[in-house]
Amino acid sequence: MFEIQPLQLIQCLIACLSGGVGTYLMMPHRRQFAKPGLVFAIGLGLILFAAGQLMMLGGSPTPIVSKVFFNIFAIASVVASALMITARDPVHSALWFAVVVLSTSGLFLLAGAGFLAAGTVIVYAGAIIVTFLFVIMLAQSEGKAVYDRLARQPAQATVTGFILIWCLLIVILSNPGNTYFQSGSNSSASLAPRLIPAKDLVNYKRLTATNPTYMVMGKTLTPEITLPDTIQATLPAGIPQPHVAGLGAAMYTTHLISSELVGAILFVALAGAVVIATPRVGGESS
Amino acid sequence: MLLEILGLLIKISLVVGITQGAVAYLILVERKIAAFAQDRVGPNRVGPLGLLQPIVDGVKMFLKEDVTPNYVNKPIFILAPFLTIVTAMIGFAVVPFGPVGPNGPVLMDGPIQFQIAPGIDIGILYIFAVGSLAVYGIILAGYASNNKYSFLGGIRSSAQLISYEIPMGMSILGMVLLVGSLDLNSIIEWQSKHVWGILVQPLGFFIFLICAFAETNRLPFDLPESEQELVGGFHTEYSSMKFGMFFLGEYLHVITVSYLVVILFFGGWDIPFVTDSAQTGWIFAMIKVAAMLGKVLLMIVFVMWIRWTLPRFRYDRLMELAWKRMIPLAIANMVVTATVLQLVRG
Repeated sequence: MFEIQPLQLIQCLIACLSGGVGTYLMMPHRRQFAKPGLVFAIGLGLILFAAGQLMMLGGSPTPIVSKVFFNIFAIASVVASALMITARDPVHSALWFAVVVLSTSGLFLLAGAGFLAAGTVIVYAGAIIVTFLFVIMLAQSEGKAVYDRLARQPAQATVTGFILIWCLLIVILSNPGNTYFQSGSNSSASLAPRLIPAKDLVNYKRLTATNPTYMVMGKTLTPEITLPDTIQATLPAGIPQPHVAGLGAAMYTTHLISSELVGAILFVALAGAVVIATPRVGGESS
Repeated sequence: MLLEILGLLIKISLVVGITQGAVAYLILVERKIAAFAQDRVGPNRVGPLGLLQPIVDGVKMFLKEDVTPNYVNKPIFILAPFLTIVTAMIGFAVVPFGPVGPNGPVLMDGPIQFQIAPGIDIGILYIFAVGSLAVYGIILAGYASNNKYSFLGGIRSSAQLISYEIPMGMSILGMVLLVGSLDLNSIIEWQSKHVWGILVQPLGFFIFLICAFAETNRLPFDLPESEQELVGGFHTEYSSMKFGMFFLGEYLHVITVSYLVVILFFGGWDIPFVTDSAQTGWIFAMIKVAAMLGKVLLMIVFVMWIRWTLPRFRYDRLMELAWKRMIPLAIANMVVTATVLQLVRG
């Protein structure tokens, strides 16, 4: 299970420790005073150091242009995420969140996942964070609230967060089937097969019972994806399946149940919002 | 490799230069059309027929005093106009200005592609992604100005922009379903082979056009500015070139949206019975570029004409139009298109 090299283990440890200490130093003070700039700078430096360690763990893409952009996006996303949780002004927090989302979609783009990148920007940066900004601005027009200016239990929160990061790193590095993080290949040709194997939340071995419903479900979970001939015919020979078509096919064959579940949950949330927002008959609001 | 990067830089500077220059002259066109609508002469003093007016306007913008009030949130106040102009500019990276593909006119070692980034198969999604970021410039300008008129303008405007993004995104799905691709070049080629998008997706075109007006903050949807109630909306506190950047951003959006309408619903570079995607050589390439440019200019004139035709909406009507009319219509359009396609293709 844990086929991890000792050097990588040590690097993980250093990265997590320095990142954790850095984040703690950057957190707002308990007693609402601003921290001195030096402490903040040391914290930022430690986080940058941690980001550098993490980047040494995985390779970066090969062409020099991709490498430059990969480094820019990777550092930007790590630093912006640290600034996002430590900013004292919630509007600044929301803006750093936007920077995190944008640089993450830059990384998606470098990995050949253009659809995912555009979708992330549209949904998160374009809609969700704007709604956050909206709410923050409407909620507090004057001054910052106390709960924004001080961090409650910064030490415990930091430790918990970085234990989670540590676990994720160990799992990613020790998973032998995962080639992306270790080799750093970025061509879209190698990406296509990676999209397809289903580690679905539904364990479909359990579904292959004699029940006809389960048999239908089992068929929808078959991990073979073929594009319809109408689309396949338009592709030049030798070019891998286009990302969008591959993603769509994966979503509606391999991951059908997950997508349907997500759709149902969102629909329930929508219905709930309408019920809550609708004024009651005979109530005080008209 | 080096040659490729050099060509790319030349293309980028050409597109940036030409669009900025075009914006300057669009302002003149706007003023001339306004004058025509109001039975005036319009600007006619600087140069022959007032043709040098844009240059004088630009110089004026740069030379005015740049006031930054004391009570503003300075970093965000400065960031907002830059965001506006950047998000308006980078959308042009995937807009095809002419034919793209292996049949382009040959220069040096390969065919010229009339697009900064050819071969992106999610072109239209990219434009929507960049367009959805445009709201940041406005909402941050309103917030950073620390002024209730600006703030109200910013809030109003961001609500308007995120509301109209939804039907706008849905209205193009019909065309995307028909073509089977999100690539702008494939969409043009499909229309060149079959018929123009407006004939097969009239409802989609209608919804897209209305949402395009709302997304560019043009009349009848220019609620964010509304001089009467909000002094100037989100840009009340801005002066000099910072104000100029908002202005520039608005006109750049008009150009982007006009290109999108032409590409999605008016066949792009296509002239029926004259052009097809197999033609090679300089002459046809130039014809196609000219055809596209002509259609875009007509579209821009149409946008400016509408400004003097329709009055501004009331705010609640505006939101009602988006959520209660446009979105259901767009969903219906998508469902009907998908059903018909499934039945036809079998």
